[in-house]
Amino acid sequence: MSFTRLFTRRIATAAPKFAIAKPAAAALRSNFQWQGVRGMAAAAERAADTTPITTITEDSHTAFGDVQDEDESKLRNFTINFGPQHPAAHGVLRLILELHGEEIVRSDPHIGLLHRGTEKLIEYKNYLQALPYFDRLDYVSMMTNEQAYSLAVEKLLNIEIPERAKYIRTMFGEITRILNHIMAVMTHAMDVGALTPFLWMFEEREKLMEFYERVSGARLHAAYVRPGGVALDLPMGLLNDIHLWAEQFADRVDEVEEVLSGNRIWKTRTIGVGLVTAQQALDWGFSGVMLRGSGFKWDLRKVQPYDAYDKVEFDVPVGQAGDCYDRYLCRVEEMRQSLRIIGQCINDIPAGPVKVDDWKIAPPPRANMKESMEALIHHFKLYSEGYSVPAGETYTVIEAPKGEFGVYLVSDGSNRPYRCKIKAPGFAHLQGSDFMARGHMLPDMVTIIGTMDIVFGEVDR
Amino acid sequence: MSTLGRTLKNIMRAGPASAWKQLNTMGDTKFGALIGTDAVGNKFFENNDEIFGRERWVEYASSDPDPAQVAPDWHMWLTKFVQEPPTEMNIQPKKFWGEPTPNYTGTRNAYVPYNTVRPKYNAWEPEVKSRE
Amino acid sequence: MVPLGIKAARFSTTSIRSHAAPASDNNQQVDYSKGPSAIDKASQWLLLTELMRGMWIVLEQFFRPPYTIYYPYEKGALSPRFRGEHALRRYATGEERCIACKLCEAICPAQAITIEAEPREDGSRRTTRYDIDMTKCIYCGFCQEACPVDAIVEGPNYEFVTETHEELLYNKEKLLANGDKWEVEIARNLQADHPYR
Repeated sequence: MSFTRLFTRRIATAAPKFAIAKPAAAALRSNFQWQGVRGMAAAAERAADTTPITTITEDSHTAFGDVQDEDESKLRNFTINFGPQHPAAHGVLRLILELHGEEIVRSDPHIGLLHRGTEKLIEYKNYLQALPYFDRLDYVSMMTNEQAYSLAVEKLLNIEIPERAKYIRTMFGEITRILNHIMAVMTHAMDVGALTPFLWMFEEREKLMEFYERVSGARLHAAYVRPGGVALDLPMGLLNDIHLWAEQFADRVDEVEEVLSGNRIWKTRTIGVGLVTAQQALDWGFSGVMLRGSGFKWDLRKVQPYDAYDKVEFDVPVGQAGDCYDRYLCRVEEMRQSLRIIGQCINDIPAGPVKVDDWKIAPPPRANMKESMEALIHHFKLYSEGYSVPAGETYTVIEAPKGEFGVYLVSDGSNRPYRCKIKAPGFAHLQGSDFMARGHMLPDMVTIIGTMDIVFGEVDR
Repeated sequence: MSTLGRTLKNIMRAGPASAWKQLNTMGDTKFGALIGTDAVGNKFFENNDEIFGRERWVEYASSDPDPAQVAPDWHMWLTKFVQEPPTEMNIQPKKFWGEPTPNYTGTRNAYVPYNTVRPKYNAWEPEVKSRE
Repeated sequence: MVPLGIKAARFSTTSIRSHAAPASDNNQQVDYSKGPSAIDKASQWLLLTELMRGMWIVLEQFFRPPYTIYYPYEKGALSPRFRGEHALRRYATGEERCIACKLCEAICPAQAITIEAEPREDGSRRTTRYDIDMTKCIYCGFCQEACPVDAIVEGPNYEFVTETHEELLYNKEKLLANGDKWEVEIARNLQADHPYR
C-alpha cells in the first residue's frame, strides 16, 4: 500500500463521524450497499444482488469548491472514459467507467466505432463476393469466419465437400485457433504487465501467417475457404513445414506456461478476477472459453461436429472457477489440443479434389477452362452472375476460437443472400463486462477486457 | 548488432571497411558470398549458415535505401520465390519489358493519374452570332 | 467550519472498507493434509522459486540468437501465390492480353475496377479505360481468378507506398507499365503455381 493511501486512510478513519452523522449521507450510503469488502467472492456476490441504480450525476454547482452539501459531493462517483484510444482497449472499445475511488461501480461499453455495415453490404453481393467480408469480421481468426459462412452456404446448397477439403479446413481452422489464442493470451499478459511472452509467441504467429500466405496468397485476409471447398490445393511441402513447426510449438507453449502459469504476479492479477458463474455464463449467452472456463462442458466441435472434427481426437479443457486464470489455462490447453488436431490432420489427410465437382458452384480448373467451351461458360457465369442458392434459411454455427460464431443466412432463391445475420461471440461477451467488472479495481478492467478476447471487427460488424 | 561474438567474427571475415559500412546501414555485420549485382548496382549476398530468413540480403547502391530499388529479377531471388539467382536463369528480355524503376513518390516523376479515354461529350462553346 | 480531517479525506474518494482484506470464507473447508506442506509453501513463497524459474527461461532466451529480419536489407519469404500490387500483362508479342470481358469488374467485391471498352481499328476488342482504385481494393484476388486470359494479376510487389492518395488511382497505362516491369517475376510465379490452378 502506498504511502499516500495509508495516510488518507488514517485520516479518514480518524474523522468518519462527521461524514456519516448526517441522515442524507447515510441514506445514500445504504443505497449503494457498500457492505462488501474487496474479496473476489464478495465481488461476484455483490454483482448478483446489487441493483445497478448508479446514475451519472452531473455536477450542478458552478465552480470548483462551491459545494453546498459537503457530503453529497463526497459520494458522487467519478466517471471516466476508457478508450477508444486506450492501448488496452483492444481496438476501438469505449468504456464509460463509473468509479468509486478506484473501484468500478458500473462499466458501460459503447460500441459501433468500427461499424461498417457488413451485413447490409452482403445483401448486395453475390455469394462469392460476400466471402472476403468475413475475413474482416474477426480479423485475428480469419479462416474460421470463412468456414462458418461456407458451411452455411453449403447447407443451403445441400452439397457435401470432398474429404481433402474437409481436412484442410479443419487443419487451418486449428491453425487459426492457435493464431487467435496466441493473440488473446499474449496481449492479455501484456496488458497485465508481462511483455516478454508476447514477443516470443508473436514469432510463432509470424510463422503461422507465413503458412496462411503460402496457401492463400495473403497473410491475413485469406479468402481461402470457399463455399464448395477451398480455393486452391495445398502447395507442395506445406504439410511438411507445418509438421516441422508443430513439433517445436509445444515447447514454446511450455515456455510461456513456465513463465506465466506459476507466476505470483500473474496469479494475483487473474485469480478471482472477472468471475463468471456457470449460471451467469448461460444467462448472458456466453460461448467458447468464456463458457467452458466456468465449468460448462460445451464445445460445438464435439456436440455437433462439422468438417472433419468427428474424425479427429481431441479433448475439451474445462475450467472450474470461472475466473481469468482458469480461462487463461483453458486457452493454453486449447492450443495444445489444436496442435494434436493439426498432427492428426497432417497424418490422415487424403489425396483428392479440394472443391466440389460441380462447375455450377466451384469454378472449373483453368486448364479445362481454356479448352472446353462448356467450362468457359461456367467460368463466366460464376464470376459474373454467381450461383443461385435455393430458397431457405439456415443458422450455421461453428466453434470459432472466441466462441460460437454463427451465420444466419436467408436465401430467396436468387444469387444474393436475402439476409445475413452474423452472430459474433465477442458481442455477447462484451455485454458481460458490467457484471464482471463490478466491484473490481480499475486495473482489473484491463484484465477483464483481455480475458473476454474481444475483437471489434466482429463486435461492431 | 546481435551478439558480440557474431559481430567480431563477421568483422574479421568481412573486413573492417565493409563491416563499418554494414554497421552504418544495416546495423548488423554479415558475411557471405557475392551472388550478383543488378542494373542499379545493388549487391546481393548469400550465406546459408545464417538462420532462416536472413540468408539472402542486399547492399543498396543508393545512400537512401528503398526496397523498391531492387530490380524485379533480383526481387524474386531476395524474397525466395526462386532458388537460383537470375544470373543463372537465362532470362530473355522482351522488347516491351520496362526498365526497373524506383518508387517515385514524393518526387517530380511521381505518377499522376490521367484519363485514358476520349471525352464522351464536348463542352458547349457558345457562339455569338453577329447582329444583323 | 469543516474540520481539517475531512478536507484531507477528500483527497481519496475510495471507501476505506474497499481496501480491507477479503472476507474469510468459512463455508469452504480446505484440506491441508494433501498437497504441499506449509514449509514447502512458505519456502516457495519466500525464495521466489516460480519467479526464478520464469527468469531462467528468460535467461535462456537471452542467449538464443535473435530472430530479427533486417528489413529492407533482408526480406521475409513470399510464396508464388502472394497477392500484391496489380499489373496488366502482355503476350510475348507485346500485345496486351486484356480483352475487356469485364469479369474482374463484375466480381470485384469492393467495386474498385472500372472498365470501358471499344473496338480498336483492327477490329479487336480492347479496353480504353482500365482503372483500379488501389485504395478501394481489398486484395482478395478474385480479379486474377476471374480473368480468363491471365491479364490482370496481383503481382509480387508490396512496396508501392505513395505520399498522396491520387497516386494510387491506377489507370491502364500505369497497370501495363507495372506488368512490363514485373513480367519476369509474374511469369515465373504463374508457372510455379500452374499445377494448382
